[in-house]
Amino acid sequence: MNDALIEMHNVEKVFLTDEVETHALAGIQLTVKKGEWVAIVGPSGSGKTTLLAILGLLDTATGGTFLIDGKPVLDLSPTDRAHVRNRHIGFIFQSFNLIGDLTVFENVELPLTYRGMPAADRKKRVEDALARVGMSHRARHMPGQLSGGQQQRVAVARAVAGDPLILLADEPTGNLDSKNGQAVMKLLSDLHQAGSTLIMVTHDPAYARLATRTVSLFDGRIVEETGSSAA
Amino acid sequence: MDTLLRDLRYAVRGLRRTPAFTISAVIALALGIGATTAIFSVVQGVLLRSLGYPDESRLVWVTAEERGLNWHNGPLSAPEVMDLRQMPELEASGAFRRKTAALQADRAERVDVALVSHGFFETLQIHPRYGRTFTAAEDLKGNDGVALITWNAFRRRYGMDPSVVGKSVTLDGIPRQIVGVLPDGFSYGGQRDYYLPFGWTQEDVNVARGFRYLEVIGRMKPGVTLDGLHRALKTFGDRLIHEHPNNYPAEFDWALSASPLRERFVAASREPLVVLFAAVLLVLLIACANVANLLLARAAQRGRELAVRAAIGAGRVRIVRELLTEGFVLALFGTLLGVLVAEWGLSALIATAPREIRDLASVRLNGAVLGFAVGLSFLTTVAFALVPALRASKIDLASSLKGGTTGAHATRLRSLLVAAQVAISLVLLAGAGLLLRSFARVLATSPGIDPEGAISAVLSPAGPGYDNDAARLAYFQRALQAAAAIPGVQVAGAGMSIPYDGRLTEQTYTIEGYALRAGEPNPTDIMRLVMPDYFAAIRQPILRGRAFSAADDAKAPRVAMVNEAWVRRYMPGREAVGARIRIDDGPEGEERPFRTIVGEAADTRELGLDKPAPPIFYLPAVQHIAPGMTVVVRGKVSPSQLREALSAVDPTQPVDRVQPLTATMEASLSQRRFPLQLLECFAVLALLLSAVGIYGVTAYAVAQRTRELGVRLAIGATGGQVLRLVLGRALVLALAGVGIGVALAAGGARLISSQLYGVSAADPLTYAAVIGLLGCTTLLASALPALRAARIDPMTALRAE
Repeated sequence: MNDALIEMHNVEKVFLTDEVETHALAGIQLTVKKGEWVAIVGPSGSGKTTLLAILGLLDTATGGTFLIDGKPVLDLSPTDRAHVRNRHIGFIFQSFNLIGDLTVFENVELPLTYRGMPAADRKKRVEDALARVGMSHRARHMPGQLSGGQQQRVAVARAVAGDPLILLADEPTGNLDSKNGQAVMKLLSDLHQAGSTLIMVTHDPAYARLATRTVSLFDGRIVEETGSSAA
Repeated sequence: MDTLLRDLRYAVRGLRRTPAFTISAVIALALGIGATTAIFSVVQGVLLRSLGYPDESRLVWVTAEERGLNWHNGPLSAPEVMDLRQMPELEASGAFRRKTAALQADRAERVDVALVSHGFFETLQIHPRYGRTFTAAEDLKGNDGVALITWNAFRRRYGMDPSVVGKSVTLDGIPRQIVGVLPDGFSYGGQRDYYLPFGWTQEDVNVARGFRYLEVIGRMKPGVTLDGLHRALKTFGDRLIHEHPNNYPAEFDWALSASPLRERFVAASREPLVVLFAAVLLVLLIACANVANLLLARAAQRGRELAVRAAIGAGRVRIVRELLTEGFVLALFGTLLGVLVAEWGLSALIATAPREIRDLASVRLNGAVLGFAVGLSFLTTVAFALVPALRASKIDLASSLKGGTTGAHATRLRSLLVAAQVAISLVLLAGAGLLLRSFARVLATSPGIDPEGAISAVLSPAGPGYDNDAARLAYFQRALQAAAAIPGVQVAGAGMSIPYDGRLTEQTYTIEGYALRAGEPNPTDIMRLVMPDYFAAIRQPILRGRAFSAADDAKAPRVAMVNEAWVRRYMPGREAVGARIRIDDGPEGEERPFRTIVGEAADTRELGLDKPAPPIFYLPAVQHIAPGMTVVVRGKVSPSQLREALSAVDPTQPVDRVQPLTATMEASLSQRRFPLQLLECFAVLALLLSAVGIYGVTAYAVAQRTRELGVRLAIGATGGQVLRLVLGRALVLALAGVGIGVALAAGGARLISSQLYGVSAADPLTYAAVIGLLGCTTLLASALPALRAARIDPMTALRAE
């Protein structure tokens, strides 16, 4: 039985700007199995964030094949892509990206409302998620009333509330001080221990070492893979 | 439902957190929706609303036309009304004429009444609430001592006591028995208190075929079409001509015609109202463009938030729905405030509207109008919120989540919207400008009199004491003496009517020695009966000969005067003084003497300042007694002094319309002033909204380009150069709008060409002024953001990411 959650074959991304072709990604071969924690590293401009955007269906590849849980996703309609993002992918951004008009509870609840989940179920899931990140006591607060570390924990809660197949984290500690950064990484580590599949972009080698596998990018190509691909 | 409520809650919360945006958008929408709803109230009340009579489609307005004189929609005579009752195509028909009457109650009061024939209410299928309507016998003198009261009078004057039926009311000195109370809501061509029978004599209904003064309505039998009725009226008219050839000279080419009764009320109002409605829709369009622009800017600011929503699974439809919900919330508040604006605007509108806008006082915000406002709100929401929502939902997720800026598309769309606003503003400003220039030309036209410092009052003596010429003349003479005796009065005169009061009497007459062309009828012109010092009182210059004097009394030789237009028409290049004219009507056998023209007065533009002066001839009121007179006094005297003095002559007779002559002039201009004032309001509103739009786009552009402008400043650009850069861009935007607007305005100006006077629809001065005004507005609106741009601290800007 194939337990690969993500399979990428020869994925490429070409940007066209004023007749100039920029190859952001080329020949990407990547398989991520259930329960893996993959760190994507590389210098600025190496294509880390582009790769993560394609993995999260925020952007589309211009070539190759890409399967999530065995299903091709490159040719999905925008609506179907939104559907996959909502049910199968959880995002954690460097800049938290919480919605300032909504309370902590409502931010975490938002993806579940898009899913059409009944209110009672939503409430339970949100409370569970907030409890997992230790933010239950801030449920009625607005994001502006929280510290950076707290906001990122809420963002993690929002990412995990829908019980996604994969968690994507883009420099999750980039906007945090070291203490809060470590706390967030501890949280991700706990999630991984609990069985979550994580793909994380990071600059920090120390955090990359927490992952089970590290994929190094340079000029849009995977130049090195370290660690085991076993879950 | 849960989702909808949540979307609504989020929308309200989001709007509360951005009060500047919310207030700007709601005000723009409220002004647009309010102005449109107010004008629609008038359109609905005047043009669209049912007249309120059962089976209205069968009601017709029967008129006479004399194609030989190019005269249409004319009245009928009493014998013709009687004849019409024989037409098998008409189920019923009736005659109507408005007038005023002196109500002798606690104090003399002039009230609006209507004379109607038997068949009038039957034609309209109006049944009295109490009592009955008039019988055929009551059409005739001797049986006409009856009256119907309207619901308004029943409520206001009689305390809604049904026992009023059978009681007596004295009008014009004649006691009449109230025989019925008309139902609530009934009106015909305006509000009044009493309906009375005509009280025709046998001569009126049998002989006076040429005395046409009756408005006639009819109800077609079921199955009869308007075309069918036209054919029947042609046959019927031909029969009348055949039977009474003397009353229908072939050269007049007399015929009967019919049109839907609605035309009687709305024909004159349709064109100005349609133009105004089109204008106000343009204002609404600008308001929508403004709000759309604000929403685009807001969507750009919320780009990252929308991207997050999309990233966590919100589909495009979902995002559009959320943004539309916000639009609907804005529209809801805009509508609520707009209805208040409409209510206020409507009151102001009614206060300034000319009386010709039928029943305007009864126009109000009703269910249909509110329905329109809600529908409008829905449509505007779709108009202003859908495009920004669709655009905002097309998110470049990867870029937006990194904090990237919106693309050039949104900026281009916003610029396009502002250019459109400028274009529409130019159309409205050009329209208002052309009407304003026309109005200035009209005001600059000499009226031929001097209204400053003169006051007038209308006397219409009625009742048993005034049923003969001598009594009325004596009353007028006493009134004139009383007016002249008021301390401060320099001169007092009187005329059957005065210039610009809208009351004109036409008379057919003969000019001695004037050769009529083959088939040309005797001239029919405006006749004015005046008392001595009339010309001095209104300061109408006498150009040749003399004015009437006290010596031109009943025993003196018959005399007349004419105006310049009369001379130009009938005796060009010749001396009119000394020529003779003869009035051709009067009882059979009575002497019809020639009257010698003794003087020529300057022209007065009786048909309107924007129309050529018509030929007028004047007769001394002592030689040809009028039923009523307008007294004019000049000097240091107040209206109340004049009223008091005239009332003292006979306290049983009302003294009406006591007002300065300037007010009479003003009222005559209301038909022209009304659309001008409204169009001016709309144009100013459009200009303000456009200014807000230009400001918004410029301010947003500056905010977006802060870093770029900082770089420019860092590498040596001066503040002035940056200022010019920003202002230049705003001007280019406005210029694009001006280009489109001039083309649109050139087409739109044709709609109002009939209301222009002395100005062409392509008047270059107006367009230049409007373009200059828009240029100044653009500079003012963009000055603040431009100054802000010029003062950017390069270091701060470069640090800002």
